[in-house]
Amino acid sequence: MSDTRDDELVAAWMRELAALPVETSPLPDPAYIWWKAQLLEQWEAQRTALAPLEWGERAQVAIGLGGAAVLLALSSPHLPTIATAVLVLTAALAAGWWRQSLSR
Amino acid sequence: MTDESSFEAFYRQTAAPLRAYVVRVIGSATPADDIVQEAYLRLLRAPPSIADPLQRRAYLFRVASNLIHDYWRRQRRERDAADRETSAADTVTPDMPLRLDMARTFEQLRPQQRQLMWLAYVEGADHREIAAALGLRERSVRVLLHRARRKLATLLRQRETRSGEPR
Repeated sequence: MSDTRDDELVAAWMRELAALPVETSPLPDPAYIWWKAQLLEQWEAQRTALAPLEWGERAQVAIGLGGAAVLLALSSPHLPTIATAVLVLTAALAAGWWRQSLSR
Repeated sequence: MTDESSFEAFYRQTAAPLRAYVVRVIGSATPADDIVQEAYLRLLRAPPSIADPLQRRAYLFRVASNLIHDYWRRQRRERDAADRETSAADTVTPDMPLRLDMARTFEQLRPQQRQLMWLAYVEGADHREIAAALGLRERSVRVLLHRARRKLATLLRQRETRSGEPR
């Protein structure tokens, strides 16, 4: 069979296939898609705007914990320094993770 | 496309053909609807600087084609026999033998071949547009399209032979 004949056969069959209705639910309303895009845009803008604040809050927590550790170390000279550092680091990491999980 | 009314006009022109493309290429209606919706959302959230509606339509098909590839990648990871059965059942209704037969014939082509054939024959896209939509080189499109056409022609001839056999 020649290429031309193949092409004609295939083209006719593809036209037939394209003419068959697609069995699906009705298409969503364009207003819904527009609204959803706007909403996603707003969320993204909010997330971008709040990102520095979240970092600021994390820094505040870390500084607060660090300060508390310093005070603790100064007020309790018998407390081993390494144990204090480990405690502070653990607390800071936990606070960071907690903040991150809240922001999700 | 900066206002809702122009988007609505564009959507009314393109949504049905885009969904037909996605449904026929992936062979399943439910994920096709998600892909179509995601394609429009991406278009709205990162609008290309294209004024020509035809080019914008081509861009939309390119976005959908990328989403189809993502879908296939996910499917490959999750694939099992049950998924394939669900997919086939979702494609067509059993009381429509013609649709079933045509859809099954089309699904015998490789996924990329289905994309090529649909874009070329239904969307009327030229080689350059198909290459852009599928991330291929123009020269490759010519060859791949030729192979896809030849394979479909073979399948159609086999189908004719089978239907002509006495039962």
